[in-house]
Amino acid sequence: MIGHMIKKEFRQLKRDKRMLPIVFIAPVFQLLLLGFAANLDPQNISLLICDLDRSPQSLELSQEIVASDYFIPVGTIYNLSEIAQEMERRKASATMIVPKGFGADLKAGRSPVIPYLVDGSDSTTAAIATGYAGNIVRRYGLKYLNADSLPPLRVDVQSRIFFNPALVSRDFMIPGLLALVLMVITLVLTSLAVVKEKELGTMEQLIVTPLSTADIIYGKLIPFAMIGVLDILLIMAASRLIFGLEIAGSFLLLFAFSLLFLFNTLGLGLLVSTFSGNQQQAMMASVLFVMLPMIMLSGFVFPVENMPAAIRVLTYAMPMRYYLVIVRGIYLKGAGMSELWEEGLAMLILGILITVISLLRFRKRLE
Amino acid sequence: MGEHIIEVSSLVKRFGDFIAVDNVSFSVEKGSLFGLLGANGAGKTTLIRMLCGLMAADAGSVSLAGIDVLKNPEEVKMRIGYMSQRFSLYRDLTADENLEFFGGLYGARDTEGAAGRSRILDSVGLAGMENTLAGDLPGGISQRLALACAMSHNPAVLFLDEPTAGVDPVSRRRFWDLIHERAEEGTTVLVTTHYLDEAEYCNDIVLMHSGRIVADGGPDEMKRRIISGPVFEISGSGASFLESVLEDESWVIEFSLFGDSVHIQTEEGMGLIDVKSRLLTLAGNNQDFEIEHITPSLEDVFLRIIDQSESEGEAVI
Ligand SMILES: Nc1ncnc2c1ncn2[C@@H]1O[C@H](COP(=O)(O)OP(=O)(O)OP(=O)(O)O)[C@@H](O)[C@H]1O
Ligand SMILES: [Mg+2]
Repeated sequence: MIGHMIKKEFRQLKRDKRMLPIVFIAPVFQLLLLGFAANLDPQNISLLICDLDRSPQSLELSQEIVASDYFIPVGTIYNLSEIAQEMERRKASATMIVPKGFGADLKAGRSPVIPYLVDGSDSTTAAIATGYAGNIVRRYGLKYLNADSLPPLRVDVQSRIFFNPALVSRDFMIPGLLALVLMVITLVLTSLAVVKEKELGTMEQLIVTPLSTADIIYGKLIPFAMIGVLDILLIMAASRLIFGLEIAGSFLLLFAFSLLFLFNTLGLGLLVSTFSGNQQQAMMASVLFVMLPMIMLSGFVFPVENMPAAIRVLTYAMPMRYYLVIVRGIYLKGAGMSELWEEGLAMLILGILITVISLLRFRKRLE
Repeated sequence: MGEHIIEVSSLVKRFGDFIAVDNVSFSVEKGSLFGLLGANGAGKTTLIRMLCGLMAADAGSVSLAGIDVLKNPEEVKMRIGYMSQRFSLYRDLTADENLEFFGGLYGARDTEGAAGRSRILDSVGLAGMENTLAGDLPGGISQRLALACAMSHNPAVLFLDEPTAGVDPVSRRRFWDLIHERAEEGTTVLVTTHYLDEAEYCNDIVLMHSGRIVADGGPDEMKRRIISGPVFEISGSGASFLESVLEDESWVIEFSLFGDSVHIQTEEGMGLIDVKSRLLTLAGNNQDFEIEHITPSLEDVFLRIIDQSESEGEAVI
């Protein structure tokens, strides 16, 4: 009997002209938007150099930087106190400081310190610039430091980023997008689909048939779970094809955790529908009471560590908080089960809690 | 016959302080066509929902084919078909898909194959509309589709909640033909309606008012019992003046307004000539009216009953 429900649901989805774009085009569109906005090509960062060392080595390093594709040098100054004023005047988006003793340290085979100061109002640029400058300095350092004979000698790049301590880069955003799209699609579509039946009076007709409560609920949820799974694959494929983002860790593990996240969002959709009498209410409730808190309090926008303790407590109730750690961990760091099991367990517990509450609230009766 | 398929006793439903169904008891004979009548808000839909196990009751009991509906709502589901007052098909599915879906939920054999479904759709007058979206069907036709969906599994009892509301007279007629066919095949049909001409088709009716049953019985029997004297219809421009002076006349037992005309029920044994001459005397300058002896309609009966029950209600307060 649940088969009839699923078949019916797909027929309705197929007939709904707005559905295809919402379900399959919007995720890719969001990915493109966010991906490109998060990281426009990091070339042409205007860079000020503050050379406190005035050694042949510091001069050579400056030349390396000039030669790179990433930076447009806007000048060199020799005094720390001028930085703020000169960055303003020359419209530099970053400044690299070469400290006193840089040349001498290199000649002596010691690892020098390069404080790299970035105007962090544009955090993406800052993150990328830090990375590129680090590479240049490291490469230059290897001229003097023997990587084989003197481990672990390296050139440190310290970035002091002002204003925006949360460095957000494209690679960091895209895995988060997986969480966002999954939540939006499954939560909103599920709650709308369930409430629509109430609103149009077809729920009354379903209740009077021999369908069980479970048939009704799972008949509604399974099609959206399937769509969610397709979206997972779609976003993963698009991230790879368009942005070259590979999954550092296990695809299967990520997929399994994604299903666990779906379990949460579908349950939330059902929960929202039990509180809503019509589609408008369901939409409002989804956005105001689920999506906004989830986006704000999950670490998607603001890092959880930077939140005041009182608010941080709330983040523990957000399934997306855990999923973000998982999805970023697996995507970027190649994290495995041993690092992520706690997050997985938290999502499992939350998911069960949400499902139980919504099942208790969902009655196969009219009020 | 005489066997009761539905027995309702002392059924009560409250919404907060409001009592929507107030201590209702009645029984329905197997195979009969049973009419549930009452004005808007009388509690008909609420009552039907409880009979179908859709809604919990606050007190009382409902037994359907020997099953306690309130305790075991799931057990009656295969035996009943229900057509709710609201349009409750999927507008974005075709006629055929709706029938396939609802038939499928009941495991009905007849709707499994396209041929079977097309036969059913033919029989309710939807030939050629198999692939029309239910939302695009005209009102009268979509109601017949809803009926087909509600009875694909040959239920013993069909509950139809205002199936012909807002439907044109021709379609209403066709719908009632279908209901009669069903009833003749032995299905018990419980139907609510606002159209009193439709109530005349029923074997038994109950009239609800403010959640209570205020009258029950067969239509003819009710007329005989409630309306003892003859009934006359006064029409024409003088009718409204007459209406204003009738109140003080002791020989007029009851009078009520029907659109532009007035129906009066007089003491037993009064003839048309007698009544007319009395009215001419009363009318004074307003001689422009017609008078006719009529058989009382259910409407006369119900207005009478509701008048009575309301004045009783006031007396209690
Ligand atoms: N879920 C509900 N909550 C609160 N009150 C309700 C509910 N359902 C019905 N009522 C009230 O109960 C009363 C009876 O309603 P019901 O729908 O049963 O009447 P009805 O006889 O079917 O009327 P109609 O002819 O308009 O369909 C009405 O006053 C209605 O407002
Ligand atoms: Mg009603």
